[in-house]
Amino acid sequence: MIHALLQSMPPFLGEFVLPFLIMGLGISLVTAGMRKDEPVQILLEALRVFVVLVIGFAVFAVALFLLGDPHMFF
Amino acid sequence: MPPGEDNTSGPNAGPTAGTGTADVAAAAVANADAATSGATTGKVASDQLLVTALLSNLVLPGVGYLLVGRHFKGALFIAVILGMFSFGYSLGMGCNFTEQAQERHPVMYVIQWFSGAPAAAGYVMRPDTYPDGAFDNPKLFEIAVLFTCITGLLNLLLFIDLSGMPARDALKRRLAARKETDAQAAAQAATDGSKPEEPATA
Repeated sequence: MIHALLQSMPPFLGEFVLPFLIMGLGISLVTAGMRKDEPVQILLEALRVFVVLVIGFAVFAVALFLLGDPHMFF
Repeated sequence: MPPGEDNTSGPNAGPTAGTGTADVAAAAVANADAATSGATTGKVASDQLLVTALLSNLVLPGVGYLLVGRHFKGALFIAVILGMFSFGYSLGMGCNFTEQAQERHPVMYVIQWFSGAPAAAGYVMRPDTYPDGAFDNPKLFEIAVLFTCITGLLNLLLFIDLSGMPARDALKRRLAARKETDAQAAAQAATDGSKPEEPATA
């Protein structure tokens, strides 16, 4: 089902943005859970890490387009 | 004897306030050390609990945190890691543990086994024949294996974090004890400093 859903999306969205957003959300939640103890602190830390990850992904995507080959990875 | 006179008697009752502060600090650190080390039987029991938590966390990610009493963390890790593994396994249409995956990504194939029980379940439930369209888009299949591989790496990270939890808790207790000692020393110094001023002002 998930395979068909991502397959039906545009390649940039289904093969790059959505999977890495989900992966970034999971990684940020786990790493924040290891660093903090209180639930609210964990969620705030996860949000902070997730924002940094999204900015990193965005810079990476813009850099790919600026390099002139946007289909290098997707 | 009134309880208040205990501080003025005994061998540790020095004439200067600095000696009393040092005694309070030493007692607080000793109490923290005693709380950290604990009795012998308690330490053995906590070591056994930690080993049990580590092993169970390897089998099912997040369960070790539940065993040591970190319920929110355990539930969070179970939900996130099982969710990510299910996403990757569903994206790969169950082919993450097939020979095709092993030939394409041998290292990631091994790493995804660190997910524990979900990986074993995925191996048992792998399809006998490759489903139609499973490898039509190889990028999606690589992302699927990447998801299960990241899950295994996160479980290893949880194992390391859980193994270092007693040392971190002991350090936190020592820091809290030191902060409390410093606060008591500052309060005592403030009261000692104000006492000589009272006759002067009077």
